[in-house]
Amino acid sequence: MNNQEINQLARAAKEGDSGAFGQLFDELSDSVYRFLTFRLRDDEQAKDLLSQIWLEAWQSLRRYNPDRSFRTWLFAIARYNLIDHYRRYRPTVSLDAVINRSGSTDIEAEVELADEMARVVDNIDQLPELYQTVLKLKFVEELEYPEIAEITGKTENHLRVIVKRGLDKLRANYEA
Amino acid sequence: MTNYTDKQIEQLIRQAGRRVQLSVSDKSQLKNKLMGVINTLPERTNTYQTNNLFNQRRFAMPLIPLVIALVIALGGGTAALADSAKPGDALYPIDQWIERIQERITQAPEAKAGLFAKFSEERLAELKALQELDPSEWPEAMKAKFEEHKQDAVARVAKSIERVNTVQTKFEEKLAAAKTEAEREAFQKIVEHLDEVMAKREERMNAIEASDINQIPIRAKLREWRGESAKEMLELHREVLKQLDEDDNEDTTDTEDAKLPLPEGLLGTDQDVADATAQAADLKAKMALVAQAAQDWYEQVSPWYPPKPTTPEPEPNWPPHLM
Repeated sequence: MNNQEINQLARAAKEGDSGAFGQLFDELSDSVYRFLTFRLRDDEQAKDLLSQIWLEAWQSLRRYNPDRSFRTWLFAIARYNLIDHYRRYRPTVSLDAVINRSGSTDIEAEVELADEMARVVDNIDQLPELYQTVLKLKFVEELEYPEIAEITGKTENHLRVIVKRGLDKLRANYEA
Repeated sequence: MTNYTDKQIEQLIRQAGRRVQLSVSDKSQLKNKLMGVINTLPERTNTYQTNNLFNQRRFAMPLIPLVIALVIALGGGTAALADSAKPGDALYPIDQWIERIQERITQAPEAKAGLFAKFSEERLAELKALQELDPSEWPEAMKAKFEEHKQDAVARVAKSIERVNTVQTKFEEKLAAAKTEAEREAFQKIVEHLDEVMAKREERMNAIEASDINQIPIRAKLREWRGESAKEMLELHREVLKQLDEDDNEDTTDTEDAKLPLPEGLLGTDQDVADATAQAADLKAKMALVAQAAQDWYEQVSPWYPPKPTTPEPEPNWPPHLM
């Protein structure tokens, strides 16, 4: 589903169409869940927060501007809730528990890949919150800079510098 | 040691991210639960707005003058409690408001001077107390404000880095297209100079990002809490000196009061006069201390105070046609 189709569903949901809202959930819940899980590292907490975010989105639809991207609006709500939640609860569980294995039969390659990914996630965790958010939105959710700017409230120039510096820091940690 | 390119790092982030997803059953369960709740709601309520801290503060702010008036009218415990509040305490703003109102309602010069002296002593005591305060006790609001300012500063430096980058790219293009040795040399110098500027700004950005609230000098922290109060302290100091000078220079022979016969014993004994003179001298010495503290503070943190002269960066020696 492209952004235009998502925004059309959002307009319908804003008018009270809960079916359209359900379709939005189908389309975007995985993205939001990924965004939460990277930070929370706990499956149950991520699912609880996910439900809370979607309920809040439904209740705040009156304030949603249909000319804006619903996706970025939803991620802004998710980020706000995540920051608030993270202040109160610190994540403790390893991300290994929530990464679904692909089912590959090449165990050695699978283990090596999982190890590489765990390293990159651990290194991302060392970065400041803003860097983590921007890198995840850019490379995992593949949002464009204007969308990320809307979610984070930063300028596109600043975001480009953050991405470059974030990648430099990750690379430095890898090569250390 | 493996060398990774940006693309490889990006790919790893992508792969790590994409592996994380809700299972089909979890997704279905969460959706059913969500839709069940939504369908029982009578009307969509805007909890996002009511939970918004900003809106709660906007609602509360107009009530504060009413609280102050009530406190003064009752004249009791809250005012006393607020009086002992220090910067960062919840009642400190109340304390400040009460002091401003006390100033306004106190008319007699001697009483006003006494009030200013009391406020000045309190400011000095607060300053000393704050210098001894454990940094881990800084209020959350101040930490949040510090982070906000830090991010703004980082954004400004990032913007300037971007600008230098743009200019550098243009000169690198000119360098590549240079036809003569002289042009090549000139453009090379400019590109190298811009490299240095970029490095300094990146260093600055690193320093800001790495900065911690506990490393900030005490006066800059106080400024966060006190805002305009640096100016206030100087005003206070001037007012007190003015009052004391007025008292010293006041010519009472022309006032109506001066024409009335003085009650007996009003001036007291010689010892009384000596004590009063010593007290006044002591007060003046304390005022000088407060003034010095305020001046130091003001010099350090106030944007209105003339900045100390700094050695200007040398202008690049660019040929006129390249400017």
